[in-house]
Amino acid sequence: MDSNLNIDQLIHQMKETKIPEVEISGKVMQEVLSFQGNQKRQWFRMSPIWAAICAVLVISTASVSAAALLKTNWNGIQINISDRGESILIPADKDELSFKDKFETYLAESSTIWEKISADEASVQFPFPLLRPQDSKFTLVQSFGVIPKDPDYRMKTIDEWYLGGFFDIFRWKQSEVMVKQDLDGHMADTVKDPSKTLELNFGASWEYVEVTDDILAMFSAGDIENRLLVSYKTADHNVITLELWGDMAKDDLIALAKTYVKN
Amino acid sequence: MRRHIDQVLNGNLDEFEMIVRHFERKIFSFCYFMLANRQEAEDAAQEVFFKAYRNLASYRHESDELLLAWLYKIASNHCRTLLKRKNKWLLLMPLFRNEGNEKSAEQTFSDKADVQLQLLEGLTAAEKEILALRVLEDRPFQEISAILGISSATVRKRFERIKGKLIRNRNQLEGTRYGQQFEY
Repeated sequence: MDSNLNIDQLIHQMKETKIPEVEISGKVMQEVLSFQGNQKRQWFRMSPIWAAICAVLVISTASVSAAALLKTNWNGIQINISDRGESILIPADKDELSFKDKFETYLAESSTIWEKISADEASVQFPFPLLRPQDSKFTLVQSFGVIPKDPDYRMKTIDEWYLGGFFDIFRWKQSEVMVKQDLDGHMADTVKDPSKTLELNFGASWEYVEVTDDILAMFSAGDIENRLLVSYKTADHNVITLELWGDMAKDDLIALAKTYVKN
Repeated sequence: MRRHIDQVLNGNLDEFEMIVRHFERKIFSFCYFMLANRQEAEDAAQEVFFKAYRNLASYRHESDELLLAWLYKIASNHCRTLLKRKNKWLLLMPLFRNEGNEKSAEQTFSDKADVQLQLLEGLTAAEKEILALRVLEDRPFQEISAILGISSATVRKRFERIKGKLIRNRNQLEGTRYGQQFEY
């Protein structure tokens, strides 16, 4: 018995299997048009990490007015801006503390949970290659990492502030900027796997800055300081989020962010 | 395809229909092979293209072959999910069996037209995928391994195992027919 011949015959028979004729393009296009016209908002239930981390919106057109509704898509991530008057960011307190001051205060109060490590230790411990800024007019005065003392630590309430990440502090003239970077697992999962979906919803205080295949950037002016959020897609399709907080003009924050992501 | 993709991303949705028309036969064939049911395969293929549309911005186009491999990947994931659900439902079926236990017209159609698909009984979803890509599409093992995310050596080993199963299935099928003939 020649089993190879049997297999070849079998495979030949299978190739001869009559596949029914089909045309699905009409139904697909109905679904696509319906999706575009009648998208329902599905609020993404933010994990505590997301509640603390500012997500970046991709806007492929011009800046958005406070009343406009904008929907767009970046690397498979659906982004919606609406005039809800809310922000998922940590709101500015009325006592006029900067993000850096609030962060350092919170870190001191949470010393049983979080610890500071040096930049060298961070470069070893962090699960992604840290983005480093090129030389510029801004002076880098301090760099450090913050990690949970317990590697398996999980935030217990939605109000808890996630402090993990790598931090750079810059000075220029009389102004100070804090830059936080961290790996964004949710965004990376969606970028890497087309079958996954992610939808983010944000308030109307945000303004488009720049969008390319690799970079999303958005700006929000605050009472005390301004904020710039950048999501950067790396060559291996991870997503690193940069958050810049400081009392610098938008263009200066953008210039500083570019020192991290431009080669 | 590059031009069509760019047009879609710039908001010209009609261009997506060109992409669907170009690949619908291949993707439907794959789903039909996996699900062994025409209506389910049609629905599945539809869903594959819809998912591709929703995630088109994240796809980095390098060649038409790569686009097809990406679509196969989506189809593979989708069909596996459907098969898992179907298996769970089949376990519950005896609780909901109709007294008449009649086949639907669809099922009858499937049975008649897809005799060869009976050869696939007992194959796992993963094995069906390999067989579909190797037999229907004549994909080389290297490419199959990239689509399914497993090593080329694993694909080859599994293909050998699949061949053994097919032979056994065919022998059983022929044995059944033989037995039926003798009933009369």
